[in-house]
Amino acid sequence: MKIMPAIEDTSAKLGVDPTSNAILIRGASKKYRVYYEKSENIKYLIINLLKGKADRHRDVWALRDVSLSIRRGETVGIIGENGSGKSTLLKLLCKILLPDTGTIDVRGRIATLLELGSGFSMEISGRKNIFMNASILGLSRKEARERLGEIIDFSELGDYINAPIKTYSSGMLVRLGFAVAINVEADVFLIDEILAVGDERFQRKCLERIRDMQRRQRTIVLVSHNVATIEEFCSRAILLHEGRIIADGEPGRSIDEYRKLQASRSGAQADA
Amino acid sequence: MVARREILFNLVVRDLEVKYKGSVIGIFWSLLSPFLMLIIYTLVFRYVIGTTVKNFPLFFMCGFLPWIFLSNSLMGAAPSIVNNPNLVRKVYMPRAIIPLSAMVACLVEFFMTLVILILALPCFGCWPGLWALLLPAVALIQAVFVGGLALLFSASTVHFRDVKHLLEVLLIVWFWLTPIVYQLSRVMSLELPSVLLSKLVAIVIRFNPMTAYVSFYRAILLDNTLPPPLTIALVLIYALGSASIGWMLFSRSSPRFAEVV
Ligand SMILES: Nc1ncnc2c1ncn2[C@@H]1O[C@H](COP(=O)(O)OP(=O)(O)OP(=O)(O)O)[C@@H](O)[C@H]1O
Ligand SMILES: [Mg+2]
Repeated sequence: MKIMPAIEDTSAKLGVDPTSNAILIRGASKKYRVYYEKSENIKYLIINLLKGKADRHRDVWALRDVSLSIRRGETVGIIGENGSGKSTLLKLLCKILLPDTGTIDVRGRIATLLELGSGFSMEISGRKNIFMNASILGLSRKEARERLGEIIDFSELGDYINAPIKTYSSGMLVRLGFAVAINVEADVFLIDEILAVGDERFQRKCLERIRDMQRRQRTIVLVSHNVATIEEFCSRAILLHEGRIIADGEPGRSIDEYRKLQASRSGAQADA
Repeated sequence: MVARREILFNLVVRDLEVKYKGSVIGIFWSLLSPFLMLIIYTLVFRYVIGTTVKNFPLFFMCGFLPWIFLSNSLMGAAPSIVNNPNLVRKVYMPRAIIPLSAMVACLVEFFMTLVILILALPCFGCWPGLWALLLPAVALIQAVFVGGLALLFSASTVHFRDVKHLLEVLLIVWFWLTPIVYQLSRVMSLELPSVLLSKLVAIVIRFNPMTAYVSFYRAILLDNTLPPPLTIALVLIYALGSASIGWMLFSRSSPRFAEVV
């Protein structure tokens, strides 16, 4: 099976200055170290040292030599199987992780929405978490206060906003997280598979906001298993497979490659 | 920079709020515990053991409150990174803010107890003099010292989860090697079974960083003087040393926190 990368220039279509990269990744790789037997305690470390045993580990390369540039105003979808490195890529973009090789440049303020409960403290109220999250995203207290009403309205949490967020359902947590992230004046939005948890109406509302951001020339990187969303919103889609980019270009084409990949997998399973 | 201060502020408020559950009684509790210790230690050292220290309650509190600040900060900061995976794995922020906010929350409590101590001084017939004005500065220098250790212990807890137990033991030993319930001068003329041992213990206590801080607090609060120049120098050196070592080790291991927490 061979999948050719389909790279095309999308800047002309968008009418964006092609020199203005919002994101530039050069040869980035990321390795996780998975330990079979880790001396998580000083006690075991000493015992292992005495026995002369070293930590046994295996290196997992979650990303291998990934290079890509994303222009300002582009909306890029990232698709791929579970464990293909999508979340790792987003975490590199926002500096949660550092690459083992290569360089990563992101211009401007980043707003992230990576996983459920990102940046939240479960014991305090939704309202206080808004301030907490806003400060992590780089807002001053004053800015946060100005946007508070809008954020609460958008989340539609009503009275729950004053309850500790450990009492929230997962959808409610997403609402709160999305409401903060989308109301931050950021240049780059990184969204990881978070929309799926909200109910249909809230999803539509979020997607409308994403449209709005697109109109305002914000850069958006969207990870999703929902290919329909990718096809509808993205001007470009990247297919990751075992940590490598194997397709990058028009969403339709990347999605086709993704489908082929999935089909070949189930084929292989059926054969076995 | 502004944003960092904002995160720190929010985390400190969160820590205090979770601890006090937003109630005044909660704050009362955190003041009550040093007060109870004061009663117990006074009872034991003055009436059971019969210490020769004059005005033992004040003498004790000048050492005990800074000690509580250290001990609470380290016990709070050590597990702070592992206890906040949401702040480490899912968002990016300067990670040092997490243990430092645990320390600052204890610093806030420390200041509250110091205010009470100042108010209590006259009741024990000891009027604070002008040198007492240095109190906030000394407390801040101690906070730099404690902050360095907070960074150190929080980073090591990420790699070794039992650091907390080790820390508990360390704190007990450290407490007794600090002149909190006894006078430094007594230690200098200690007569242990072995001369060498006496010397060793004396040196350890003399150059224990907390000894310098406690001496400083006692000098400005109880004696209305500055401590000897050596103590002043040591206080600054310990703060700078702890902060730079803590910061260095922390920033070396923090880039990988998101993978291991
Ligand atoms: N903290 C970690 N320690 C060790 N290995 C990890 C860690 N995080 C991710 N991995 C590994 O890295 C690879 C890529 O993971 P990643 O989370 O980026 O996948 P993904 O594309 O987001 O998958 P999904 O569709 O399930 O969200 C996987 O093989 C995973 O097992
Ligand atoms: Mg993922």
